[in-house]
Amino acid sequence: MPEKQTLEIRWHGRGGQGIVTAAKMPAEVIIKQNGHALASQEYGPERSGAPIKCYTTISNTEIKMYSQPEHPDIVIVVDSTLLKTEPILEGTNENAIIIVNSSHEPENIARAISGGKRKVWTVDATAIALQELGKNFPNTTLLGALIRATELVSLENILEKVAEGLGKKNAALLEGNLQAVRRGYNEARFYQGSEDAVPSTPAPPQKAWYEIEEAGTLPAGTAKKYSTGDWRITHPVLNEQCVHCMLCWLFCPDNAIVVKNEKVIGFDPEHCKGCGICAEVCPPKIRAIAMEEGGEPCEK
Amino acid sequence: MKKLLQVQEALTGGHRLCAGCSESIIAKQVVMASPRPVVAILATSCLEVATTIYPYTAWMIPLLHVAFENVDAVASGVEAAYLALKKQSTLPHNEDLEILALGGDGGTYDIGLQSLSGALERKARIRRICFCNEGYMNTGIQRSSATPFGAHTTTTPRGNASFGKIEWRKDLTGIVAAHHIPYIGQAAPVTLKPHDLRIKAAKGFEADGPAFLNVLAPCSRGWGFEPKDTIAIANLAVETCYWPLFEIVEGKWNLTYEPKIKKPIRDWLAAQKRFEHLLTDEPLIEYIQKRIDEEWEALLKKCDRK
Repeated sequence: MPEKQTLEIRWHGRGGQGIVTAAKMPAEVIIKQNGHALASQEYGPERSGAPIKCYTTISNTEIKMYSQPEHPDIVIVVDSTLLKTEPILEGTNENAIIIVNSSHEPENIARAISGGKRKVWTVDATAIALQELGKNFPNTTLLGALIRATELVSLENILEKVAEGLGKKNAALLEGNLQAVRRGYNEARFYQGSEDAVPSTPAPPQKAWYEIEEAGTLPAGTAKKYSTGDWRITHPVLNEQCVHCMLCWLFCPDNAIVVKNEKVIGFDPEHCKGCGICAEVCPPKIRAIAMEEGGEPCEK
Repeated sequence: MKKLLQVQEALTGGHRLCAGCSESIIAKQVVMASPRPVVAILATSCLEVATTIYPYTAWMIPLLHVAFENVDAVASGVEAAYLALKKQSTLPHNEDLEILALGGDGGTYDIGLQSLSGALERKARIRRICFCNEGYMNTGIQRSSATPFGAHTTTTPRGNASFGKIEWRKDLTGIVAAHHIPYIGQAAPVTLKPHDLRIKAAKGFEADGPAFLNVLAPCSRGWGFEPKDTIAIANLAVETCYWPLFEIVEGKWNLTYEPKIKKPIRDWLAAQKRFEHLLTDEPLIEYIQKRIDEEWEALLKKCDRK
């Protein structure tokens, strides 16, 4: 009997980013090569933008554990805004590899999440996806970075799998996706982690369901404190043609049109999700709002 | 419009509905129309799940969350309790309230139908809004009785053996009309007539007895269109007569918007991924067009337009 070796990967992403598909691909390649693999997902109500987790487990022997891996060896963060809100390092030890979709240097991310102690890879998957696909589907780029970081399977094998999996569904985007995998592989950057670094104290864990009070009332409007601004990949820009008809205000789903003295003065960067409805409902003769690429803070 | 700016908005930002979701737009415009303070009773739905994730709530008005099947029963109970307390003069403020019950098409067309019918028959003074996004979008896009003919959902998948949902959608507004309540409206968040929804809600709040609004709630994720097009899709539903805007005031039918040129149903189908597979099937499109035309003619007749 060979020694049992198991590798567990946890993916953190948001609904609609294609991470379920991404988590399955390496598993399918391994199975095709007669290895053992399992891909699973964990998510609440389906909603694009909501945080979700997926898992890939790979082993040289039969996998009998069907529950979620609790101590992953690799954590992939498909959306860097989740670094702030999700317990990314939960259950990992210091040898775990953290792969983050970010334009920042891996060392900066390591500092932010662990005071510089952890091993981190970064790749600017959103920028690559926008260039190669014209859409924010960072999943395939991160798949490339995963292969680079682990050499789990060969790049050729994963490219074949992507071609097979996405080719039927969306042939138009196939070439872009293959290019995204290659670029993810080539452009991923590594930071080794420093043993001397003093990790910052991790945030206290969220309350478990059994620790929450049984019933009670909440003060009104506490959601104001919750930022949804980081969902944005395009942002509205207001120009001087605005006649303050307030249609954008009436139709904004996120109360993100800032009005002062009966005039539209800008957008709320904390809550605007960048849906673009304001630009669409603005009367065609006026066109005072344009959506521009990038999720940077809306103009105030 | 300027006056509206003074009104406290019912929903804050920071809720977790998808970008471009129509439900918060509808909720905000409806509550805005009330001349009196509003208490909302909310059935399980996307709106409920996404606006009340503990420890956050996006609501600025008192809100009670109940199950799919009993929102109207609970709303009538809240009304009865309120009337009783008022009679005993034990309320801290003796002002009039509006009881607003909200549910999706799952909580209205399907699971909540019995409690809706009961509350309407008892003439409870509640205002009921149905967010009709034509499916169980919250649980992953399953079909409901509001899902239109031919639509692809995860439980009516398109493929070699099927073209999507094979049944025609239920006429819920018609079912509610058969209860002969004072005010019924069918509306959508449209820029064709930007104040239509709000004006209908305002009329509902003045009704002496139950009022019901069936509001089309375009769903970018479940229907397959870009989030920015939410309002454009609602406009298209009205322009193709797929979702006509009308009201029934004390039994009198009244069309509130008549498209100058009725657009072909193909335009509506082609704008959404859930109908993508129908576009090459001419006989099916003709069948849908024929039934939409028949429904439209029947509506014109009821509204004394012909």
